[in-house]
Amino acid sequence: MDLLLLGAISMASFIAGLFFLRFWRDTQDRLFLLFAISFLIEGINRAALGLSGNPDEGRPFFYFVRFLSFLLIIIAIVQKNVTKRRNP
Amino acid sequence: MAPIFYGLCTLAALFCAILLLRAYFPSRYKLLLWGGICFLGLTLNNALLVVDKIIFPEEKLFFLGVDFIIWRLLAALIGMLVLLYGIIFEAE
Amino acid sequence: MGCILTENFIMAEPLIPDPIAQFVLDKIDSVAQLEALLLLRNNRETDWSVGALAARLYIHEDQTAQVLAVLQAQGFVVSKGTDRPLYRYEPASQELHAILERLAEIYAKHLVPVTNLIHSKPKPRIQEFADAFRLRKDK
Repeated sequence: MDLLLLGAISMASFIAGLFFLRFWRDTQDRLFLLFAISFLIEGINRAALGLSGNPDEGRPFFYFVRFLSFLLIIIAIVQKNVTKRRNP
Repeated sequence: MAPIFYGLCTLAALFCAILLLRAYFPSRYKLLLWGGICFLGLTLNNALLVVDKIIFPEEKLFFLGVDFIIWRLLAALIGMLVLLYGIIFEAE
Repeated sequence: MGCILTENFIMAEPLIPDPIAQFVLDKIDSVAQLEALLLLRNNRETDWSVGALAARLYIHEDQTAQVLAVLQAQGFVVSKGTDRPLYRYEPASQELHAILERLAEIYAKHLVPVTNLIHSKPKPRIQEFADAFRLRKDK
């Protein structure tokens, strides 16, 4: 059951990532690109968890990747609030 | 180590949820609501992971007769499904 | 400045001068926003509540509140009070005031070209998702 759920979450994350890529294409807003990469990475992470026979989120690889995916989101938010305005 | 990282993830997800829901109330753009709920699901997913790892590191937790991991993952899955619903039907 | 002689030669000068057009493209996102701004300008002695403005503009109160918040962040209007804020036209600088006066004049004479300009900006609604992460709601 947990493998099924992990697979479903992984797939949903990939799809969300793809949609964010499309939003980036439509708006050229870098936030969407970073969100896309974040969700795609999480998709891979969940899949790796599922594939690892005995899903154990305690292992460093998994929490590093999860942390990285959220770090990308935080970077997206920071860069949205720090960019110089084009018209003073 | 793991609980620290997952704890930070919990906070990051909560931060996103708050920003999205805060923006939803003036503008009523539904995707902000669904996005906010998604991140609440992810917050719960990571928070429950912290609980699992810190408070009960050696035991296998159960809740209502079901392995705790199922509840954790359901929180994330429901969050993601809500986000996808929002993107597909409400993104314009 | 349209003087009598040049009014017959529309091609001689653009309907919307470049600086004003650029201003509209950069700062004005919707006709509702411009209408709200001009309404406040035409009644600059009055302090307007969100409800009163929404009623005059025939738009939803939520949208009005958002438009007013944007106008305030841009320095065109100021607000009083936190619970049910009142808004008043008060541009943050002489420059802004001059541009807005010019824009009001042009909009009165050439409404359709100005609205066409506003609508020519592609702004898919998804942009609001990204904007939600702006901490200060500033443009």
